[in-house]
Order: sequence, then C-alpha cells, then structure tokens
Amino acid sequence: MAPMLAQAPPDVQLSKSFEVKGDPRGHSLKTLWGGSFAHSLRPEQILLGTLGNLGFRFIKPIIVQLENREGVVVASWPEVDEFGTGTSMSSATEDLGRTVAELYCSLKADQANLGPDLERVWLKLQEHVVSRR
Amino acid sequence: MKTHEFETIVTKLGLETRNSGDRLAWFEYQGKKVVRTKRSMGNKEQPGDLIRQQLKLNEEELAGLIKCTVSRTDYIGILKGKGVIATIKCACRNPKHQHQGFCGREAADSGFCSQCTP
Repeated sequence: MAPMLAQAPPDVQLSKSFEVKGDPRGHSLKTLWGGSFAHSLRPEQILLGTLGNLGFRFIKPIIVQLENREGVVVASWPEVDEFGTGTSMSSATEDLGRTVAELYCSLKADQANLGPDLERVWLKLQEHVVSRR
Repeated sequence: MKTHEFETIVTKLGLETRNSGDRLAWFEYQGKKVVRTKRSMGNKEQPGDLIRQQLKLNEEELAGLIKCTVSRTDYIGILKGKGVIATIKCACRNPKHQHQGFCGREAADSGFCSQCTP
C-alpha cells in the first residue's frame, strides 16, 4: 500500500520531506519528528461557533486561542479575558463554552450594576451570543 | 497558580463566590460587580496569567496580593488607577464649597463625600 502523505504543520521545521506512514490496516500513525500525531497538529487558534449549552447560541463565532500547558489544554477568548481548561481541546472548549454561558447569565442578571470593564464584556458578549429563551 | 493561592486572593479581597462546574468569584465595590475570575475544581495548577488578567493586575501586583503586601484597599486603588472602578464625584453643589460650587471630592456610597451631607 502506498504511504499516506500529509502537509507538515507550519510551525514544524523539517530537514527532510514530511511523510506520515500508516500500517496496512491504517492503525498506527507516526511522525518523522516523533511525538503524537494528534498533538503536533493541534491548532493554536480556532473559530468556536457552538457553546455546548442548548439555552444559548452563537450569532457570531469567537476566536479561541489554544495552548498546552504541562498537559492541560487552555482555551481562551482574549477579547473578554475568559478561559476554559481541560485534558483535550474539546474538553477545554466545552469548559470555555460553559463559562461563557454562566457569564452571560450572571452579567444579564446584574446588567444595571456592572463596573466599566464588565459592562464592556457584557456588550461584547451580546455581539456574539443570544439566549434561546 | 496553586489552588490555595487562588483561595488566598478570594479571602483577602473578600470576593463573592459560587460553585458551579468551576469556582466562580467576583469583586464588588459600592454595589457594582467590577471584576470576575474563576478556577477549576480540584488541585490542578490554575492558569495564573489568565486569572491575573481577569483581576486586572500586573505580575508584581498579583505577587503582592498572594504574599499579603497588597491589601484590599491597595487593590481598590489599583483598579481606580486603571479606570476599572469608576470614581464618583461628590454631588454637593453648595456654592460655599470649593471648585466653583462643585465639591469635587470622591463620593461615598451616599453620593456625597465625608465632609458634605445630602
């Protein structure tokens, strides 16, 4: 079977051409520079368009930064200084979505009593998130 | 940031807290929610730089808060300096007071400073 070829991530410096080989059953994937294939391909930034909470929806996706810190994945939304953590990209973005939903409820309930910074956060949230209720 | 360091900050600043999936905390001043932060449950290492940004502090100020060299009063001063807490001026318009009829001093919860009465 011909080897499976893929594009190298932009941040990886390779002296040789990049090649990912799969076994005949396609089970084991290894990279030439070693390490986990899935880990090395984790993006640094994604567009998140779902909150994982049926009570809310995004009307405009948010730009989420992803970082791996000693085995903990941190998903952050820098525009409102909010973040979520988890053991994987999906659990970190899920945590971020849950936090954003919590923040939306909390700021909505207190919108008459917000300091200048949280007022800005509340306005920014409303640009991206709406409640289905 | 360690979990106990986060809890030191919560206690020192008198943050309001609520346990949801995470431990949510927010700082209130004169009845207004000013900043909020959170930590995940358990004893995991917390992302200190992100918590610091949520609390509107620089690295030195956060270190001072954890080491007890920065007090709640100092923190209020820091937030005022950064415009995170809006300073309300005394509402007194007694012409005998300074600033051409406007007191100009910082107001307390009553809307007046300690030297003016409503």
